Amino acid sequence: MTDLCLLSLVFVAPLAGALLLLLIPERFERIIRALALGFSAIPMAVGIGLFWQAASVHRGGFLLRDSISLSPSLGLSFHLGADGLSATLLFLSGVISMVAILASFGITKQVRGYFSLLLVLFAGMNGVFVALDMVLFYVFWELMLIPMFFLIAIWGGEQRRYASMKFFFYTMAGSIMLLVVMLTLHIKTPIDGLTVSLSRTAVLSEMSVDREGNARVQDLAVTVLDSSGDISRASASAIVQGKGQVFQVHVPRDFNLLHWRLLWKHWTTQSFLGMNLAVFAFLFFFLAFAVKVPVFPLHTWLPHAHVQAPTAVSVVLAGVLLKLGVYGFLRIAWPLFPTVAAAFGGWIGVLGVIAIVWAALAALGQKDLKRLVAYSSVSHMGFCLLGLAALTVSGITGSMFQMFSHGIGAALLFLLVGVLYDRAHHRRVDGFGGLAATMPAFTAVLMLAAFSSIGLPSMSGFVGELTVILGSFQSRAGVFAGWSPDTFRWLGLVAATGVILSAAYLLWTVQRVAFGPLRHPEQGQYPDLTLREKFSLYPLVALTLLFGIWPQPLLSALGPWAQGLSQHVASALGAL
Amino acid sequence: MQLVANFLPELLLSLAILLALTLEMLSGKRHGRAIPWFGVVSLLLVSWISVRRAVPGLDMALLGEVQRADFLTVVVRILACLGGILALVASTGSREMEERGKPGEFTILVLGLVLGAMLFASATNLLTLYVGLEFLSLVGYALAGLKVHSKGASEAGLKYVLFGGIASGIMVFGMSHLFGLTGSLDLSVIGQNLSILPGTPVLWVPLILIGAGFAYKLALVPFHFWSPDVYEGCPTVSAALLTTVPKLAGFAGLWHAMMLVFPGGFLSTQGSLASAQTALFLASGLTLLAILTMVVGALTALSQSDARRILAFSSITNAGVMLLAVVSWHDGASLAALLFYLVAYLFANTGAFLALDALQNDGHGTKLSELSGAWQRHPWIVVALVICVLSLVGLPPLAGFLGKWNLLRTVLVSAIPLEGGLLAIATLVVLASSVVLAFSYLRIVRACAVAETTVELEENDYEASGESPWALILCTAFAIALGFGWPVIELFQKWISP
Repeated sequence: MTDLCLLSLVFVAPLAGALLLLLIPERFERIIRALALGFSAIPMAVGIGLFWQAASVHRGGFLLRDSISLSPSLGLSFHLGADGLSATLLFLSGVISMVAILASFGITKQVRGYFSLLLVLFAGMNGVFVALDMVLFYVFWELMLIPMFFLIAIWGGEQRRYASMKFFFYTMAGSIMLLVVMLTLHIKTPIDGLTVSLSRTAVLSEMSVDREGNARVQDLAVTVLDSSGDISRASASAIVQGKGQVFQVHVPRDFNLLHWRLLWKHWTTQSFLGMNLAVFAFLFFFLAFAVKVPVFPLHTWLPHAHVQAPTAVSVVLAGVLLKLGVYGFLRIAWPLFPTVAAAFGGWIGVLGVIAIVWAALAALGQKDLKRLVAYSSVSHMGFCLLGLAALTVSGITGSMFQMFSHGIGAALLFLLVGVLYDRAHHRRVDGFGGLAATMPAFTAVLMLAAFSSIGLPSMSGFVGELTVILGSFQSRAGVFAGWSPDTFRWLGLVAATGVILSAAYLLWTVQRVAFGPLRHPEQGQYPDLTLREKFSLYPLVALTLLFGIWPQPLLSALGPWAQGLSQHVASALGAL
Repeated sequence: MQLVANFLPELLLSLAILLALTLEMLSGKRHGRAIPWFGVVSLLLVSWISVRRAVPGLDMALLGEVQRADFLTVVVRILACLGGILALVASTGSREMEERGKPGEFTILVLGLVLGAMLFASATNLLTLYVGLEFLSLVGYALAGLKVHSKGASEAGLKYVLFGGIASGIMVFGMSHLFGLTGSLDLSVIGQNLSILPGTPVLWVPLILIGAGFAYKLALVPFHFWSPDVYEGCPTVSAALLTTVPKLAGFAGLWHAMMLVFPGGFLSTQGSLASAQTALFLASGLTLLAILTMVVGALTALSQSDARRILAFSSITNAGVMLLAVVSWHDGASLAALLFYLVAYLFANTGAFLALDALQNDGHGTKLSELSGAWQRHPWIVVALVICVLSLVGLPPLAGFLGKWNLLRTVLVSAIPLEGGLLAIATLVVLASSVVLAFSYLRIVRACAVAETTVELEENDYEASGESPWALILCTAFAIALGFGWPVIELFQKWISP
């Protein structure tokens, strides 16, 4: 129960805050802002605590997890959990939420509604990171849709109508796919559940021990089949000592993601609408999450949404919401359908590389700073996809590391664009020049953010991209798609050119904006970073440097997770 | 005695109508305002009695086997009463209704509509089915044309009457065919006789004709043309009623008919080959109808510029979804799913119409352009409208989501054994259409909650509208609370198959 209460805090606190804000009269703007900041600090505290644990004492598995059954006949349960991946992302989301609230202090239009919606958005994204039940996951996933729509549609820029509608349509279409596939998978489990055989290594890697000393896997009792054909409960100590070879668990029909993970073989034997169920479900999950990442060619909503959204919303969008797509891949699509993921791995890697190169080229041609950063986001998220597709431990670790460092880096860049916009009220790249002289602190942070984004050593961006490229050089995953084993080497090579391209567009931008002669005399009057801006920028700068110089905490929080997924995929492929 | 007890709600309601008529005659202009409240009280009484009858596994033939009291009947009684109560309460503060005057007339019509819904929903005989339908329709015509001096309302009423008359005629024609073929008016006897008849096209003719009658009543495509005009032309409070209560009754009636004629469900393999053929014909026909309804409803909604017309097309699309539940029924869970969907739909749809009515009170229309900036005028009404509309979209954690999720689940359960059948495609259509429809709903939301006002604010715009907010508050509260309503679904399941 305490686990559930603690984990619920990450979405209950923002929701409670949102409701509370609605009760406060509009004119108390300072109180509203302070409360919003306070309520977003609670999930951050939980996130930091969890991440600390994950980074220091963690050896894989869940730090906290519990569930209560809500309705057995409908298969509903309230199942929350946090492992290394969730903890890292909760940490990221907590930091970004606080920064976003700080960055919104300049909002003057309908302050109460704005902060309530922002808090509901936080509740949704934090909830996704802790939900282990598919229905719950979906509920949180959809909870983000409406606040985001309103935030863009009411507080957005000139073309907010178009951008908000496009955002809504893309994400709604994506989430409807989730609904289809969730119901299909549920229905395709036999009504009385299904008995699944597990190998000894599989049991050992996910085993927990109950009070009688018997083994359990994901809360399910493990039975062992001995040579005479008798079935008995498997004792945990016997398994550890190496007794028994074939173990069985009985998986009930529900929406539990951890149970579904055990059923991967079952899905591959079923069919739906004339397709193999596993292929069908993987493709639907992939598309649903790909919209959020966004994966080329489903990314076209992103530049519009970014350009029209207010600064803080852009920060949340780039910092956390894009990560949700990759999180969906990691939590659902890959573990549930390891064989299909491997079979499509080549194609997915290609998509990732296209995003890296193509979006970087697109960024080179942008005239609007926000569009430029938006395309750079698409490009950097391509690394996450490539790392995942490579299926090696360093590929997956790198992909998760890249998620974190891009979350911080993109948030930084959007905040910096916001700083410029607040002063100049436009975002044209050619409308600036020579700001370094009057805004030294701003220029320093801008250069640092650009360097991290490019992947300069000692910045967190470097670790992420390097690990992904390393992972894809090590990968032989091309063979699962029937391609050459060298496929991923080539893909890694092409991805590396993306790094060069990103150096090109970012350094060129920095040069045009910050250096050279002062082209617009009135810009000489711009004040440097204000205290509030410093408060939102410096923590992110600190994190970038910290994890660039000392990536160990992140690696030890994420490493076991990557190893687990990689093993799961490898054993699934071996079992085929 | 048992019979009277099970028929008591209908009897009481008839009495209430007579009383209301007398009151309407006797009361002058001043006391007429009390009649809606009399209606509310009598509906509350009737629903309370119905709740008392709701015992698990209730199943009883009434009036010499022409009516049937079972769980479905009980739920429809309660829901119809609820719909009536919401409309009556809302009508007491509605400017539209105020201007029309004569609140007694409206009360009598509402009570009549509820009674008609009850009779139709519990019919098990072709005759009572037809009588129930006509009862429901006649009251509906009057409710549609309530605004006597409005050109639009008269057109709406006339359109409704003409379409309805033709549909009734076609249905009776089909019924006479069916009677000729099977020699009985009793639906369960018809079912038995059908199972020995070969599944020839001769049999399909009456089924198609009767199906057309139902399709008209439920506003299924291509028999839907009357509905947007009617919902646009009639007073908004009537529209709230007309989009919910007749639909409720229609689906209950259809369900009863199907259950009696094909006792094992359409898709079961029990029964003779001949009846299986007929069932398959009917099932695929209805599935196609549902697909067509969802597609046309969702796509047509895109081009509407009046919020009420968008809601009308949404109710058409919703009818298509509910039809799927009827087609795919196989056990108590499907009925429970349909009922829960209906409950969620009732509250969200009524709430949306009532919110529009409340926004209309300061003299603006329901065109999207006129709704713009409503946020500044009546923030809380807009919040209620947005919640109800989002529930109709099916977004969690609102009632509409749980309803749709659960309904699709049961539809898929029966679709899966068919391996890529029409039904599985239909579930995909449900989801695709709900994305498209969400777009239209969002236009309403955007007009009210996002767009800056284009109408000049007047002094009195800022005053609270005269609407008694309780009906709207109730609808909104239920639209939220039922999102956590899985115990209700479980309760339904337990009562249907104890």
